[in-house]
Amino acid sequence: MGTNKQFDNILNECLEKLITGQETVEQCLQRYPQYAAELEPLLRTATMVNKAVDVKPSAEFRAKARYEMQLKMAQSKAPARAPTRTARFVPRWAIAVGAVMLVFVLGGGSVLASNNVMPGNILYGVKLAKETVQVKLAGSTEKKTELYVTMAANRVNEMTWMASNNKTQNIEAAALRLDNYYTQIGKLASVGNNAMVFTPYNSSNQSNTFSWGATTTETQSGTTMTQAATTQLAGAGKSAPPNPATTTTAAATITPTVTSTVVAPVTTPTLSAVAPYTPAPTTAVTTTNVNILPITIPPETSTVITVTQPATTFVITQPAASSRSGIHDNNVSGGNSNQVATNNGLSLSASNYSSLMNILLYNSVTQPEEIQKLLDSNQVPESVKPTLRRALAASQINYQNAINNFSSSNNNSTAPGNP
Amino acid sequence: MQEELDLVQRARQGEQEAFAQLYENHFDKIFRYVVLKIRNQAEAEDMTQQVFIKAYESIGSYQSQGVPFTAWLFRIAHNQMVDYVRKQSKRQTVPLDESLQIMDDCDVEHEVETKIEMEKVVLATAKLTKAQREVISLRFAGGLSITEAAKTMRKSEGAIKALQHSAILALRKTLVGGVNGGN
Repeated sequence: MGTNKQFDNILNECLEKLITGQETVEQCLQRYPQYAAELEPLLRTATMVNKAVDVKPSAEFRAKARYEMQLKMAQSKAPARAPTRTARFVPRWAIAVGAVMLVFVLGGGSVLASNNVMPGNILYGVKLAKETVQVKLAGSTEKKTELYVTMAANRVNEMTWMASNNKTQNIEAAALRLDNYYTQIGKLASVGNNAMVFTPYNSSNQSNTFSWGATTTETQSGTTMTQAATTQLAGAGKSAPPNPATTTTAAATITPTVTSTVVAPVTTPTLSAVAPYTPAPTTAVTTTNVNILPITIPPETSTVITVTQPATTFVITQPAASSRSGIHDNNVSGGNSNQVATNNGLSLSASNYSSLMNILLYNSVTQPEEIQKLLDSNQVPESVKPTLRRALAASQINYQNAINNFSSSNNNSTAPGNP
Repeated sequence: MQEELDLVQRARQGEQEAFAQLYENHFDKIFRYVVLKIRNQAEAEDMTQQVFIKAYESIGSYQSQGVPFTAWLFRIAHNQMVDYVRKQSKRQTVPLDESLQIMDDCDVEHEVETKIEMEKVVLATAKLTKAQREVISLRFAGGLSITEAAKTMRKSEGAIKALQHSAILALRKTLVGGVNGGN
């Protein structure tokens, strides 16, 4: 037994040095010639095992995981708290009960009053909680998508307000939330959960160098996407010149035409040009069976966006004031016409489909534009801009993916107007 | 070691940068440990992330008391794995994911060879006892020291060394087909 223990110790000592690269098998055998015959096959096997398990996570995953962890940490103020179950494991009935209790405890008035509060207000947490509960309770993919678009519009609105009121300390938190919503929008529309969802983090950064937090240096992806954004916005009357490298695919997919009744110029931003490294959307919208989908046109101050595709015209209407997201609640659950199978196996009625597409198309233009304005302004601290750029990139990629994927699923199914 | 203790202490007090550094220090080890056991890149990635989220949520209640942070972290990973295996017990095992990336990825031929080697090793470890498999995973994939592995598995260092010996011997039998001869 004593001999076994001694050999175990010698084997372990050699293994430590072998694993850490301090010694080779031969060097170890030289130190213990009396055990060499017994040691050698074990050390060679150990070397083989050590080499075989030397795998690494993919760069994409590493970047995504780091980003999600950062987001998680930003969402919860401090890690030092008792273990909690994550929301994904909470049953729906519990969420519903929680929502009812929230309304009961806080009072419906507080929840309603929280609708228009801004970060820093004591009711702001209620506003966020309410939004989260609404998403959890939403039963359909399109409803969840609409809610995320609304939440994104709210965050953009809040960031603009914070910037113009010199209350910039919460802008980064809002941008991180925004980024998360865009990721969710992309995920919800992804085909069979396999389509790539863009999370704009520097995936090339594989080193262990600590680079988290608000002072994160500008990433390559952020730079690229910003350039893409200015390319897109160039068509909307912005000063940035179009980048030929990113406009070569301009004719490929959707070509929305923005016509504003408030600001005169008729412009033609190209959605397909906004993403120089779009993760290969194989479901680009080339044809749609919808001809013209008339959407309620609100009075005077509305902006009309007409999106033209081959054989397709969407008329998108910006609501006058109440909702920047362009979402009409009465369109969400209504509709009983042709059912369209969505990517997630749910069915989407024709009216819901058109409503959702309008919302996505409208916000895919307006939200990046607002974020770009913030980036261009001097009211936002430089330290926050990398996070804003990631949000901008996420908005462009994920909106486009969502539009492409929902359109694609519509094409593959019974589409409105398609006999 | 002292540096890690400091980081853990700061993370417990709510300093997010300290936890981020711990995350960076242990991320690859946890991933290797998980992937060796469940052999699927996508699942391993998801689980690795869950381990760190769980750790982040729980670090406030972590008390060293002789259990190093590394051991505590690997216990979380182990528990996640147990849950996973329980849920997946009715499913068939899948081949080692094609997308697994090998550290030395400059040579495609070498990469393929290494994947084949890993597949062999994974299949061989499947024939080990649970305890032997755990020791191999912790020591080689997780890169834990004998002390850390002992703390993680709640066994003595002597027991871990003995398990390590018997595990490598068993792997040798499976991989090479014989234990005598020395080559």
